[in-house]
Amino acid sequence: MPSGNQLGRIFLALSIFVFVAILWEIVARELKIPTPILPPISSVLQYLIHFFPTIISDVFITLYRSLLGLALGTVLGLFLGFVLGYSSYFYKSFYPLLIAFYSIPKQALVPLIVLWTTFGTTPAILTALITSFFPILVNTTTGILTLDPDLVALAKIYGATKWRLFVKISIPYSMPYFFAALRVAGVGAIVGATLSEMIAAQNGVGHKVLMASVKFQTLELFSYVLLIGLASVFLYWLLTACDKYIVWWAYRGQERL
Amino acid sequence: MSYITIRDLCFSYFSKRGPIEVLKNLNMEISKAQFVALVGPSGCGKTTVLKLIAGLLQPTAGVVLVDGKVVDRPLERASMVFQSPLLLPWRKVIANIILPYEFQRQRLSKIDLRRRAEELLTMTGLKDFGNRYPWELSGGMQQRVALCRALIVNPEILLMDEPFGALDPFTREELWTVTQELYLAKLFTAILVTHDIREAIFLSTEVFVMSPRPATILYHEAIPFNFPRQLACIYTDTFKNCEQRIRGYIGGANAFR
Repeated sequence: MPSGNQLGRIFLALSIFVFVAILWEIVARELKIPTPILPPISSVLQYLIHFFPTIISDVFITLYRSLLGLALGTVLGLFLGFVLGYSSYFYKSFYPLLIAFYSIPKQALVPLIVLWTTFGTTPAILTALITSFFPILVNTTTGILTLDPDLVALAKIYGATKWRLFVKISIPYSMPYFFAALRVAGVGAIVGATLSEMIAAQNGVGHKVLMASVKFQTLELFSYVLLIGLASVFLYWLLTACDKYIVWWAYRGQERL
Repeated sequence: MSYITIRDLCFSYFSKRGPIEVLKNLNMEISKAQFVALVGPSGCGKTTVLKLIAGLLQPTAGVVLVDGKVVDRPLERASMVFQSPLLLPWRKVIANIILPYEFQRQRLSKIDLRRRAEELLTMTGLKDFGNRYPWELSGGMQQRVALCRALIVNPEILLMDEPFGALDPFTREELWTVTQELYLAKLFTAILVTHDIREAIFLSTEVFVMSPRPATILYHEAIPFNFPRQLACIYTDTFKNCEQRIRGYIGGANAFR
């Protein structure tokens, strides 16, 4: 793809952002909406710049918890994904249980985690882990299980053991599925950590947002939302870049689009 | 003396609607270094016969003998080519060709393997494509690579499951020629499953016709043309008569009976 085209696309996306910001500003000012309900974006940015050190420190706390949870969730999800993909026996026995576990609302789990561990960082990391690990597990397993049966036959006829087939073909084959899930999981981890902070923490974006809303500190609330949103978008972009860089072969022919 | 003997072969499997009889008392005898084509109505179990010969499936009754020994596990001296080239997109062409050796206990030097792969690429007219990725190649070229991968292990038996079915008519004829050249150079025993009667006659020394399910051999005929054959022989009367006779045994609405 010519880079000019790509630049054009970035420009288009950015101009939509700018358009929404301007719209926000106009609506808030012209309709004279009270600041506690919807402050104009210019005031939010002013507040954000003024209190930047305090705000960013809480954003970093949340990101630290999210990323640690994501890392652990990725390792666990990938490992369990491989195990379930390798053995249909494990798949049949554990899959229903895992789905049941995933179906439990995360909010309901946080108090339990607090009861079992501590307050603050640990439950936030664990909640991030839980939210991120499942999409990775499901996608990795799906990637392995959708392997072309003819490819299995081909490997068998050359005397491949189950293990060699798994390492040489199944795992690389499932990687595009894994990376697709990782993008979703990254955003999910931030959601999980923030959620846990709302229930059981004394710092972090989740806690601060909740407090700000209780005190009608809408400027503060929006500042956190903007920054964590930005961080989330950046993480998604970073994981997408990893995806395209590491499993580039799965995107063959995209240049033509 | 027959090299591959198929005696009273029966194969059935269980589906939701009860047992399905695919093959019933199928008999074939194939001498060494013959090129045999297997034709028949679609869904009659041609692929099943190939898989039984390859040892990828086990017969319900009857037996497959290769060189006097019962086939009861994946046949080591065989190679297989499928309708889809089944190349791994993350490996370059040359790495795809030597893949079978990564499944085998026997270790050959990388240099030796590369040299043999290059030799096969040259024979199939892909001399300069070893360092390309499979998806950079056309469908016909990919199928040539699949042929190279099948032949790198110097198989005594080459099993082909509609290998040219997905190609356009011109590319298909090109690959007939390539396949014939490879056959004449290596003199393996070949079994070709195909829907294309002309392809069957052009390439083989003997054509077997299968009946609809439960399938058995209805008819077989030795093909009198000498090797190497030119594409023009398709237009001779001998060829056309042969084609018409075989077509008559396959049935269906347009049968020439």
